[in-house]
Amino acid sequence: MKRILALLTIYTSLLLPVVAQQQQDMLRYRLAQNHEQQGEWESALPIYESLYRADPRNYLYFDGLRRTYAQLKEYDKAINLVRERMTIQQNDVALQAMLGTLYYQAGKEAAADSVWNTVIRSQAKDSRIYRLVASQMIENRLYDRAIQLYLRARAETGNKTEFAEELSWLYVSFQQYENATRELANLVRGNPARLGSVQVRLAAFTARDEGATRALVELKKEVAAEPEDVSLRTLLAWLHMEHKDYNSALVEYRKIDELKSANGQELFNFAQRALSDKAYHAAASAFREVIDAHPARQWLPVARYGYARAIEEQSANDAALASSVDKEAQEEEKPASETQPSYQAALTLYEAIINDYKRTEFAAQAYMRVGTIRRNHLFDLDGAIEAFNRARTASTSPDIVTESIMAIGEALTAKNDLASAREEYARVTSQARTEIRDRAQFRLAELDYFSAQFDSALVKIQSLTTNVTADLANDALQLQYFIQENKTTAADALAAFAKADLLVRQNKHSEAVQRFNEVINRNPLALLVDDAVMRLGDLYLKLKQPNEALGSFGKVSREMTSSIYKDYAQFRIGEVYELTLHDKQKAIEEYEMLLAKHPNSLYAEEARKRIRVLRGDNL
Amino acid sequence: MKSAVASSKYQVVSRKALVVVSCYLLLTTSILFSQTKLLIPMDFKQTDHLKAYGITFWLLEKNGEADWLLNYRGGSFMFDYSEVLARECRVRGVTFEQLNNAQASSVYADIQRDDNNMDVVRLEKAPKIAVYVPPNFKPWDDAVTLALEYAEIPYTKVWDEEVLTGKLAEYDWLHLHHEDFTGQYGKFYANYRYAPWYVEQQLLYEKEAKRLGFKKVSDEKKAVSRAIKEYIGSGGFMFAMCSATDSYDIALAAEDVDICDVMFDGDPPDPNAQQKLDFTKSLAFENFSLDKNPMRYEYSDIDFPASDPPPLRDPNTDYFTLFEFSAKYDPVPTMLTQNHVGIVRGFMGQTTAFRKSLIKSPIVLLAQKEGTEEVKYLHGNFGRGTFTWYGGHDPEDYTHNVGEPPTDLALYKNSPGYRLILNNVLFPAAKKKQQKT
Repeated sequence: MKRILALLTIYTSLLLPVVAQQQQDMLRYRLAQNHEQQGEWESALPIYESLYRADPRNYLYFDGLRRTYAQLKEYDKAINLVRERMTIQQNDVALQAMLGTLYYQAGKEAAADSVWNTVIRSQAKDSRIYRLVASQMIENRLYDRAIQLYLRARAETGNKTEFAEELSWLYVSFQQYENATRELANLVRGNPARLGSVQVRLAAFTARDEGATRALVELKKEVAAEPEDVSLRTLLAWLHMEHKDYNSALVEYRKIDELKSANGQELFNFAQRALSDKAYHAAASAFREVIDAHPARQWLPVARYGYARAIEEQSANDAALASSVDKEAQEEEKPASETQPSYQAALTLYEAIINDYKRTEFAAQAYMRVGTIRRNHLFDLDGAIEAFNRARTASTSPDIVTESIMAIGEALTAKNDLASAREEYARVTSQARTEIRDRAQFRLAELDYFSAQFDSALVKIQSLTTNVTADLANDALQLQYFIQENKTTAADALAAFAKADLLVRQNKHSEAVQRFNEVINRNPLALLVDDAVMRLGDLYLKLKQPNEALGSFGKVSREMTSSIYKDYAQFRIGEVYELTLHDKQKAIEEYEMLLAKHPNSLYAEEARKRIRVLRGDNL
Repeated sequence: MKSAVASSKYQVVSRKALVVVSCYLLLTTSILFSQTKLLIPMDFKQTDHLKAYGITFWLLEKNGEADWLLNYRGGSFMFDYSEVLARECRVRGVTFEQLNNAQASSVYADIQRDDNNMDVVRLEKAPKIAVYVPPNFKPWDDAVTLALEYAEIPYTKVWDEEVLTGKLAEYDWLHLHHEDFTGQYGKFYANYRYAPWYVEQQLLYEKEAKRLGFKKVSDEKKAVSRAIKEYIGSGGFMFAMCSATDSYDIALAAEDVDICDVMFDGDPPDPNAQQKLDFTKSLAFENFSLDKNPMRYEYSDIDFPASDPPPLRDPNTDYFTLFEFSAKYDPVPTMLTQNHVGIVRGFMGQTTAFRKSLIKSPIVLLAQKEGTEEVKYLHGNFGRGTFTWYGGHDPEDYTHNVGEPPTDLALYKNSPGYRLILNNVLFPAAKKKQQKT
């Protein structure tokens, strides 16, 4: 036992100094590192040198000393150090590549090239070696050399798509977008899983017009070279859509659908995206093709509804176009067209859906659209009410049911059947959703106002004005203020005004003009006269009588000096000249008049903007 | 018959009298009209201080003249009244007042009184403005170009080639903002070295340096710094903000020494870089210490407080104070500090403010954070020209970080911080007069 204890004591006494030395070396190593981090390379150097001398096989000491030599531009010492190390770590390619870097930093480019070439030749078929050397080149900002090396590696390894990721990054940095696109195409070719990441990288430079144009040209070439590659086509279609060229994207999706034997699924997905992106023409084409080619697919009703929606929206665009044509006709003093663009195609499509999918949600949605077109565009109120009623009975969706009731109420109001409208809105006021309930409540208040039941209207409005965050609050406050201001001072005038307002709601513009004029003539001192004149201005514009509109707005602006609308009326005069009569000079003058007469008007900022635009200022 | 003659005589007399009276009235009216003045007040009554500078510049461009009424109602502007000018003020949303001859005379008399610290500076020529802007995209904005564009003051972009080929001589005013003249690419390496904009910027700069015959970007930037210094020396006005201030001065002091680490220029810095700095070459700072750590977002100890790590400050309590100068005896610093407030909200930048102890003694301090070492705004002369430096990045965005959208100045029409930038734009338009000190 004694002998064992003696041996342990001797062992411990021998071991302790070694451990202590190791701890001390570690502390010194940390101190050197600390100096390094502070940029105090001169202080780090003697410590690393001493540590390395004591233990030349320790890689940490070697690497610290190498870094320090390099930082202090002691390149010869660094090179010797690495060469010495290479005797320990023979055939270590990383070390050799590092040596190349030191030669390069020392200004010995030929030597650097020689070392790097030796490294590559040692394992010419190993892509990792090329990456290693290229990374050293990139570290030395030799990007063009790195590109050349990767291209050489491709030739050596026979893999034409290898290093595509590295090359695309380098090419993007050099703004060589064609090459970058080609490499990104390499990444995605036959590899749909990479589409997402490639799109992100492509977007880095296609956000700029120049990048997008160049990428598009290159990608088209890639697709032409390999027309069967679905991933490439998908990438091309994505690029088209990113730049709002949905018709070109449709061409690609047709082919993708065919290549994937998707039976219309790809085209259908595209059509839905195009519809949500408001690319109605492309959406309509895609939906039509899906419907014609794949009538048995389960999503057929969705496609048919989508198609009808796209056609309806196109009709709306035609309506806007027709309106601008009317403007031109008016400029030529031709009578304004009363005709509305035809929504017949959309109606026919919705009716077909209704017939083919009876008592389904598709039919209910189609009824809603039919009702909306009839009410808003064709002014066929009975037809609209019938369609909304059918939607209500066909649907089980609470949203469609309540929306249809609200729509019926509006159509009944327009039909002047206020009692029935009231009944409809009353059904909704028991709804759980506050937003719907408030809308119905406001409509009921409006009906009271139209019927000159002002006290009742104010009671209904009261609850709506307390929730100032609601969208309706503004409208409610405005109506409340208007009623309160005029109810006591000119109740009769207010009643007549409300009747005229109802006519406006019913799109009976000419009749409304007559009524408002009566209000003005019979109640010249009433507070609401300026409101009536402003309404007249609006109505004249709707009736395409801009000169009469100018007269009305001018009256408020120039004659009714105490009206709160006088600045707004002046603004509207400028607007009529600008937007309706297209008389830039007069518009500028009138907007300037607003700035001169009402510098603190809420409309001054907008007037300034418009003057600048009309003047053609380079803003 | 007599009466007829008399009547005719009276008619002749009355016709003559009428002509004389008409001429007199016309003359006096035109004199009075021509002496009617348009005052753009720059105190709290002004609705758009920034556009007011633009209006003044606009008039100078049209060969008009303006009087800058230093310290009068926040540094107001006075012009001969014209309907065109009044209309333009309205269109741009600038408040103005029409003064008759007597009112205008009273204003001028008030200003000239010895007991009022006010003076009049005649502005007579719209300065030609150059802004030193790199051609590539950068994920941050330049407060000066924002101010110029909002005020609708035209400027030309210049870059290294224009500077090195002597094109600066064509301009009266040069602005620099958030540039790095040391060749360390803004010292963004630690956080952004893999960001596409950073890589692209480095490659572009390297390519440009090579094209212009320089081995390194740092060498090219030093040459650019020297050329700018020559431009100032020969009478140019230089205005710099944010990191263009200290990095510019560091580049001048480091003219003969490599201070860039390997990731910036391919080789390590001179180990004795600090000792080799030549402070006689820098314009504003001396005895500063370089921050040699390439991973740190800081060039030296000039920036105070240091940007890395970002200082923890409450924007609501960070203000700096503009110094007041004698308008009649020191018109230049007075012009540069015209404002409707004396205390301005602070704002940070890569270079937020300048350490007072490192500022050379002839430099005039224009604004400072009270009770601290932080100088926010300074002015100096070199040769026949002057330079004004303003710490911080965006006066209306306390910490304008990389990638953030530009500040919409329509929301800051009365910004005192932006006014200081625009004071510098009009300063070169001032007619030089004998200084009293």
